[in-house]
Amino acid sequence: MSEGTILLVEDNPSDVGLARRALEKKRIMNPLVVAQDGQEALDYLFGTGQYVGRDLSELPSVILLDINLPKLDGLSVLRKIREDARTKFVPVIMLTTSKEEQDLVTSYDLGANSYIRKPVDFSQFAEAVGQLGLYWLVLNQSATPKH
Amino acid sequence: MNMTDRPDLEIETLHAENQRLKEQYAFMTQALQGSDTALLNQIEEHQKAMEALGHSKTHLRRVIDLVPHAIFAKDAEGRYLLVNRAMAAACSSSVEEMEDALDTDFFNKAVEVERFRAADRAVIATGQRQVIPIETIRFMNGNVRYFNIIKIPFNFGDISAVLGVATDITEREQARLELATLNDDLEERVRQRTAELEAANKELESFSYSVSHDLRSPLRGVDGWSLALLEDYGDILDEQAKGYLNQVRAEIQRMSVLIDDMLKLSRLSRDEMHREPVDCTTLATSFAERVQVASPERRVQWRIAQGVNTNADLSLLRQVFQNLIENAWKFTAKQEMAVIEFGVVEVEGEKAYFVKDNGAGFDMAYSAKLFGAFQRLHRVADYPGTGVGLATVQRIARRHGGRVWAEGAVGNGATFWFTLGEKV
Repeated sequence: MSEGTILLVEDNPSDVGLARRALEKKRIMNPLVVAQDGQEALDYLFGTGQYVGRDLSELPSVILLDINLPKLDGLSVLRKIREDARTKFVPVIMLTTSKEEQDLVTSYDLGANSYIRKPVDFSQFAEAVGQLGLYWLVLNQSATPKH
Repeated sequence: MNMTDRPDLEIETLHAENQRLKEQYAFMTQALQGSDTALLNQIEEHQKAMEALGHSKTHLRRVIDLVPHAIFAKDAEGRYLLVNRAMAAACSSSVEEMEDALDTDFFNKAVEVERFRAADRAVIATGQRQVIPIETIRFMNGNVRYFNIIKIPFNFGDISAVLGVATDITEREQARLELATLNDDLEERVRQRTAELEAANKELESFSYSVSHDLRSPLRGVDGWSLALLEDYGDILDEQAKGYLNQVRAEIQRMSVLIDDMLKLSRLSRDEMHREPVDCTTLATSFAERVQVASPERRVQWRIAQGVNTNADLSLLRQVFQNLIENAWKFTAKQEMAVIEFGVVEVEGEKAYFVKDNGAGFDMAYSAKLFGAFQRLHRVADYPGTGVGLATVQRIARRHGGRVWAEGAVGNGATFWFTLGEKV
């Protein structure tokens, strides 16, 4: 928890690679956990499937959630995150490919905090994180999350 | 007077009496003869009348037998008092056989006769005629025919009866039923086609969506990694290698714009449309100002017609003006003094709007290609663009029930016309 894990939910290895590079390039050293589909993301958050027994008190500091995912899509994952008392307040930044307006409106309706257009580059990430007041994450300070 | 006293007088009296009687007799005889003659005349007249009646009965008979509609008179018990030939023919019978016979001898009692008699009784009881627009009748031989029947209260001698006239409307009814079936068929086919079109439209929408995601995703990757290469290894790449990478990124940018334009074009036909009053003069002026502000050094004479209004979808019409004004602006870039004009005139009873320029123009031989998506008549190096601008204008005009066309000549400017389905 103190390490401020970033959970990246993204199925495209190229996009994962670009996001990882963008973070590393700016020396954001927070551990990056990658879930390759919506179900895996929920398994990580709620300690099910391959993540049985994970210490659930270690919540990610921020979730980067792709909208277009195999199995369970990003909007469904977002809905489940907001429905569960344990994950209700975790900041979620949606990753979108285009200005699919309907997706964005639905995302905000479901309680997304911000969005980034892919590929994830540092400036967009910094802006989104700044909006959410998560400067510590960008600066890689090992601060304790407020919640 | 005493006759014995006056025998001569007595005889005279007798004579006179005799004479009187004779006269009386003669008179009586004459009278009788007269009345005989009268009687004879009367008898003759009567006979003549009877004959005439017979004639007229035969005439009437012939008349009703010549009528192509079935005519019948029937009492409350269902006995035929009179039928014409058409009626007998319809029942596969004869006039002689039918008259005095019962309706139950010719029609199915349970199915048809109960219905007939109910109507007959009602007509007799109320004294009101009844019109039965369509009566379906199944004859004993299995034939089914449709009739239009009028039943009229009718005193046949002292018998309360019903006079019926039945018109065979089988052909008409069959034609109507056929038409109804055809209509149902047609409606069904329209429904089917609509469903197919809706499905095709949905498919197109999901195709557009997947284009925006699936096609963009690898493009984004190529761009992202090209950038990574430039950023992370820029110091060990020579200028030519960096130039190549920048070319790669420029091409990606171009493809990205093409995908965006394709999506925009597909949305034009999809998004809902509603007409409202639109001030064309203001629209044209605002886009003219916008391009002029972006390149204040260019000398352009704007001739925008004042007070031009229409009824159209504002956001769609805005795209029309944006495309046409920017188009004119682009193709007059090499003119020392550009002239760009907007106006409206009547063409074939329709309001036709135009944007005219004195720019590069085009070869009329290719005018059909002008409005096709991604069709271009000029090299990108000369005049940049993806070739969706005029395709967009065409789609918008068509959605308004209008059309587009263009006139021009190489080096002599171009005029682009559009209508919005407004009759003058």
